[in-house]
Amino acid sequence: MLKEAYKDKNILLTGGTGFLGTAMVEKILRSMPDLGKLYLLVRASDKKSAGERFEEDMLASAAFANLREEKGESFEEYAKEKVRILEGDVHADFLGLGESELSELSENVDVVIHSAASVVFDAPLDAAVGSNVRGTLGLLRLARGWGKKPLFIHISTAYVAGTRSGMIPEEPPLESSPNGTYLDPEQELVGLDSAVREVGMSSREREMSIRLEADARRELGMVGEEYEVAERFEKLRKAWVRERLVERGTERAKELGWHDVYTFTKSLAERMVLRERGENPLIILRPAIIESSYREPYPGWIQGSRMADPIIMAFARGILREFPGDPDSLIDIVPVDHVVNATLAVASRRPEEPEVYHVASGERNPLRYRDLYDYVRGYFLENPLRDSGGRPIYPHEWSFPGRKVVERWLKAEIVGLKVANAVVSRLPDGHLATDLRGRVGRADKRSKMSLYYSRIYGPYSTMDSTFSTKNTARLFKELPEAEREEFPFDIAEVDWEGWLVEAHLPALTTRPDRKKRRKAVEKPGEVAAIFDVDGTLIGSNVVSYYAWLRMQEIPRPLRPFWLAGFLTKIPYYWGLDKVSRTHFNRAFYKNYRGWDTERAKHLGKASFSGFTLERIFPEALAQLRSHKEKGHRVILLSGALDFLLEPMRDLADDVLSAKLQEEDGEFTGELSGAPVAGEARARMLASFARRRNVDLSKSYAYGDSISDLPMLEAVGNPVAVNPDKRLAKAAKENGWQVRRWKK
Amino acid sequence: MSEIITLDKNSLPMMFNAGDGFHYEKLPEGTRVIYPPKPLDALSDENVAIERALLEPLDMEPLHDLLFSGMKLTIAFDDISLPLPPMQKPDIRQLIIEKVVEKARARGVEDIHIIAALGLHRRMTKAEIGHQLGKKLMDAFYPERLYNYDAEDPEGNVFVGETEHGEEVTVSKRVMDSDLLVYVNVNYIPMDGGHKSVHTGLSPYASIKHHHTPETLKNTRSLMDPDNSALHGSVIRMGKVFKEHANVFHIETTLNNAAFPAVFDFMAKPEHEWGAVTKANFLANHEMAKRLPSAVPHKIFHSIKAPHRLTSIQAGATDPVHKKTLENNHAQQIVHVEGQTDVLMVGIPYIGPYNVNSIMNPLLVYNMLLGYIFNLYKNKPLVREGGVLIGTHPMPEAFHEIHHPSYIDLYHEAFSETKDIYEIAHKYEKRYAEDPWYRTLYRSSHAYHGVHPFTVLYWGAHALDYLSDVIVVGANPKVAAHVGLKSAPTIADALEMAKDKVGPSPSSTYMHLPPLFMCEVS
Repeated sequence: MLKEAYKDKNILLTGGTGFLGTAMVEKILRSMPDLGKLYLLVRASDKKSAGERFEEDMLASAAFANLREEKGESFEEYAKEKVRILEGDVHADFLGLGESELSELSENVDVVIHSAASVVFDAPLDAAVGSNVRGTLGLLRLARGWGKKPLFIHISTAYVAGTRSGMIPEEPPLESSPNGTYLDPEQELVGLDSAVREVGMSSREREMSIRLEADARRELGMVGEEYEVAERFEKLRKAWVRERLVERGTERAKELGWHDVYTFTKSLAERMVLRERGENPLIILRPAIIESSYREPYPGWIQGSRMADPIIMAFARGILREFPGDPDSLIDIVPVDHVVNATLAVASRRPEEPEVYHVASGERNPLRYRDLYDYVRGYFLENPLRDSGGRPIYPHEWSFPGRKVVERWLKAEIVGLKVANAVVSRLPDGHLATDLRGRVGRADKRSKMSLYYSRIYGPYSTMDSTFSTKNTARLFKELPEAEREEFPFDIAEVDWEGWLVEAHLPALTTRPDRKKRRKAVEKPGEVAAIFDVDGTLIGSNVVSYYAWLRMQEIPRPLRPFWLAGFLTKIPYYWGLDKVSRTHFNRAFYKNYRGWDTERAKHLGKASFSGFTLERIFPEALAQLRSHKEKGHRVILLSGALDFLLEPMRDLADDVLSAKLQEEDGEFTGELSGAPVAGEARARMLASFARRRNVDLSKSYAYGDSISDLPMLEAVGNPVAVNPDKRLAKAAKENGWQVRRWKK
Repeated sequence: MSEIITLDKNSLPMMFNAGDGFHYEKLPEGTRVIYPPKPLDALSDENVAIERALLEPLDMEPLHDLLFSGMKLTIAFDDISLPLPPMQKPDIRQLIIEKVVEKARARGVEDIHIIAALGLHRRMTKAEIGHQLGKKLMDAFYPERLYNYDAEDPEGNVFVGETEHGEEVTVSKRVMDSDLLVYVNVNYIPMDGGHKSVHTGLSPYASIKHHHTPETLKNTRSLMDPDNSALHGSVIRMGKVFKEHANVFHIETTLNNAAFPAVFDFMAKPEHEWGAVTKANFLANHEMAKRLPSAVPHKIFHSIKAPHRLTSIQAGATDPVHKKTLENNHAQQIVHVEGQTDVLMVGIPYIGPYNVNSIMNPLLVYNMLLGYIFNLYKNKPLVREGGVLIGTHPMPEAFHEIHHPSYIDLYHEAFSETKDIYEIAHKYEKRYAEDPWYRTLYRSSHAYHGVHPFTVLYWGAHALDYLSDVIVVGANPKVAAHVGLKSAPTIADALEMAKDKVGPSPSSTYMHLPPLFMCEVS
C-alpha cells in the first residue's frame, strides 16, 4: 500500500541534511524506488554549494554505506536521478528559490515534509522564533498556492505538551498554553518581536558600552591592541545580547508552562500552522527524544549528539555525580528509524481534518531512568572512558535523591566555591594559589555544568505525563504484513538494553568528536615547541645570572666579599619563590635598579659565552633542534630578562621574556608588564598563539617548575624537565612525560 | 738569502715540526732541503714609517685630508689569524690605529668605530683584542665602539650590488654608512690583503660563498699568487662593485719572518748550523713534547709571541697598495727553486690561522697541509703533478669545543659517509651554514661560523686534484684515514709508500718550515 501510494509521487523535504532528514532520504532511496522525485531544500554553506553538500557531505555519510554497497557503481547516478537538490533556505522569502524552481515545485509536489528546526533548548529567542515559527509559516504559505495542494507534514515534538501531566492525547493544541493561560499565537509573536528589539537597543546604551569596553580591555590584559579591543568589544556585546535573548525566551516559555524556548516555539508553530493551513491537508507528527537507529541504516547509526547523549556522556565522564531526576520517571526515547517509518506512513494519507501522531515509547514500552542508569553504568564499568592521561574513568554511583535535592546541593556547592574563589583570589599570586585556583575552578566548572544539565534536562527527567500513541499504533496495525516488516515503527518491539549496550552506547563513544572534526577543516594552526629557559634549557636561574653579571663589575679580588654578602639574602629569595614566582621576580628584579642599560646589554651578550654556554643542557638543545628540523615554531618563554636571552634569539623563532623599565638609560628595577610567570605566562602564550595561529593542542611545552604548570596545561604535549616536587606530582597525576636533562 | 742543500750520506737527521712536538729523522741521500730565507732587516723606526705612509699614500690624498669633523669613520683590522705566531707587543695594528685615531681626533672626528674584520672566524676575546690594540684603545672604545664584526647580524649587513658574474656583494652596514673605511692589514702571506680584506673580513656568508667553493679553490694556482687565483679573481670583481659605493683607505704592512724568540732558535736555523747548545735545546724540547702530557707542550708553544718586525708599510688606494705589498712580501718570502720534485716533505707546525690559542684539529691539519703549505708556491708547485706530499703531524682526534663546534659535527657526520669534498659540499654546506645553533655560537660565543670547516676543506681542492698521494707521518692512523689521508710511522716508510706512485727512485725535497716562505719554481 505504502509503496503504491508513493508511485510517481513527489516529495519536498526540508531539514534533509539533519539527523532525521538524512535517515529519511536514505530510507526513501532504499525503499521507495517508484517515487517520482524527492526535492531537497538545502542551504549552501560558506564553502560548499547545496549540491556539493549533498554529494560530499550527505551521500558520503555512513548512513548511505549499505545502500552504496548494494547499488554498487550505479549508486550516485541513482541518487542523483531520484533526488533534486534545490539550493535555498527555509528562512528566506520564497525559500530563496528562483521562479522556475518554484513553479516546478508548484506543479509537482504532492507531499511537504517539514523537518527543519532549531533543536536547541536554550537558543536565543530571535533564532528560535525565526527557524521554528517563521520558517515553517513561510513554507506553508508557499505550499498553499501550489497546484496539488500538497499534504503538509509538520514535524514537531511530543514535548510541546510542556508541563501538562497525565496522558497527553494525540490532538491539535488547544487555545491555551500548558498551564492553562489563554494564548493567541499571532499576538504572542508580535510580543516576542518587540522583546527582541528591546534587548538589541539596550545593548547599545551608553552605560552598557562603557562596561563592555572595560571588560574587553581587562580580558585582553597587557597584550591587547586597539583593533583587538574593538573586536573583543563587539564580541562581548553580541554575547551579552545573546545571553539576554536566551533569558527572555526561557522566561516567557516558563511563564506559559513550557520548559524551554524550543518546545515553546515548536508549539507556537503548531498553532500557527493550524490557523494558516487553508485547503491543504495537515498532519502534525510529534516524536519524543529521537536517538540512534534500531535497525536502519544500521543499528546505532547516529549523527551529531542527540538530546539524551550529553547527559549520558557527562555521567560517563564523571562530571554528573548525582542525577537530578526521579529514577522512576520516564525517559521517552524513540529510535530514528521508527520516526522515519512513521513519517512515511502518515505521508501516504490525505486527511480532511488535521491529524496528530505521537512517535513515543512511554505508553507502550516505557524506559525509566533507573533502568537507563543501570544499563549505562553497566556499560561504562565494562568499557570505561579514558582521561587525557589514558586512565579509565569510572562513573559515580547515583542515589537519586531527587532533582530538587540535587539542585540544592549543587547551588550550595557553587556558593561555597564562590567563597573559596574569593579567598583564593586574594592570595598572592603563586603556585599555591595557582594550584588552589585550579582545583576550585575545576570543581566550580563541574558544579555549574551539572546545574546546567539539571536545569536544561531536569524537566524532561521528572515528567509526570505520558504521550499517547494510539493513532500511531493504529496506523501501524493497518499496514499490510509485508510493509510492517519493511517500515517497522511499533515501539513495543524495542529491547532497550540490547539497543543501548549493543548499538547506541558504542556508537556514542566511538564516533569522532564533532569539535575535532570541525577543527580539522579549518586552516591548521602551526605546531610550536615552547621552552622555559632557566632550569629547563639551562641549568641556571635568575639569581645566579644576576650574581654573575654583578661579579663582572667588581674587581676580581673583591668578588668573594660581595658574594658573601649576597649569599645572606638567598634564603629570603628562596622562600619568596616558594610562595610565588611572580612575587619573587618582582622583588628580585629590584636589584637591577640603576644599572646602565647599554652596559647591561653588553654584559648580557658576554654572559652567553661566560656563563650560559657551559650550563646549557645538551639534551635540551638537541630536543630544541629536532623541533626546529621538524618545522615547528620554537618559542622561548621565560621569566628571565630580555637582554640575557638576546644571544639565544637565533635559536628560536620567538622569544617572549620579561623586560625591565628604562628611564634615562638606566633600569628602574620595575618590570614593564606582568612577570612572565604562572598564569600570566599561560595568558601570554594563549594570546600569542591566537595571533600567530599556533595550535596549542598540537604543541609541545617544556618546563621545570610548578610555576610552569599553567603553561604546560595549555598545550597538548607537555613535558616536565627536571621537575621540582610539586611539578613532578602534577606530571604524574596527569600522566605527562618527565625528562631528566643533565649537564 | 735562503739556503738550499742536498743531503749526503753523512748529513745530520732533519728536524720536522709536527704539531705540538717534533719529528727527527735522517732523510735519504740526495734529498734536497730548502731553508727559509733569513729575516729581513726591520724598519728602524716603525712610528716614523707609519707617519710617512699616512702622509704620502699611493693614489690618494693624505689621510688627514680625508678626515673631517662630523664624518663617520670606521677602522677595520685583521683578526687573530694573522700573523703567526701572534706578534710580541706592541702589535703593529695598535701602532697604526693609534696613529689613525690621533689624526681623526685632531680633525674633530667623533664618530669612530673600530671593527675586528673576522669574517666567519671566531669572535676574539677581550684579552685577544687587547693584545692586538693595547690598553689605550681598549679603554677608549671597547666594547661599544670597538667590537668584533658579526656576519650574522641581519641588521648589520647591507646588499651593495652584484658583480658581472652575478656574485652578491654584501658588506657590513657600518662600513657602508661610513664616509671612510680605513683598513689595517698585516700581510703575513701574499694570500691576504687587497680586496680580500673587505670581502672576506667584513662580509657575510652570502658573499663569501661565491669565492670559497671547491670549484674556485680548485682553480686557484696558487692561493698565494693572487694573479693566478680564481678566488682572488672573484674578490677583485667584488672590489670593483664595492669601490663605487665606498671610500677605502687601505694600510698594508709586511713583516719579517722572525717568527720565534731566541729560545726556539732551532726552529729557523739549519741543522748543520746547530751548535751543541742549540742541538741540546732541540733534543730537550723534542723529549719534552714526547714525554709530557700533550697539554703542557701545547700551552708552551701557544704562549709563544713572535718577534716579527715591520719591513714595510704602504697606504692609499687598495690596488697600488696591494701591488707594493706583494713586492715587499716576496722580497722576504720568495725562494727560487730549480725544478720540481717527485716527493715533497714538510713539517706541519703547531699553529695555523684557525687555531691561535686553540687546537689544530684533524680538519685543520688537513687544511694546513693541503691548503696552506701546498699552496706556498709561485709559477708551479714545488711537487710535480702526480707527486706525493708527506707531512708530519700526530693528528690526534682532538677538537676545541668552544672554537670549533661545527668542525666536530662535520668530522663525525660527513666524513663517516664520504671523503669527497664535493659531495660533502653538496650535502652538508647549506645546512651547516644555516644552523641556528652554530649561528648562536658564532654570534655570542667564540665559535667559528658553522660553514667555516667547509671553506677549510675546499682549500685542499687543488692539491687533491693534483697529487697522487698524501701521507701524514706520525699521524693517528684512524684519524688520518677518517679524513681520507694516508699515514705512516716514519718518513722512511712514507717514502717507501710513495714509490708505488712515483717510481722506485724518486727525487725528494724537504721544505723546511716554519717560518713560512714560498718557492718560485722554474
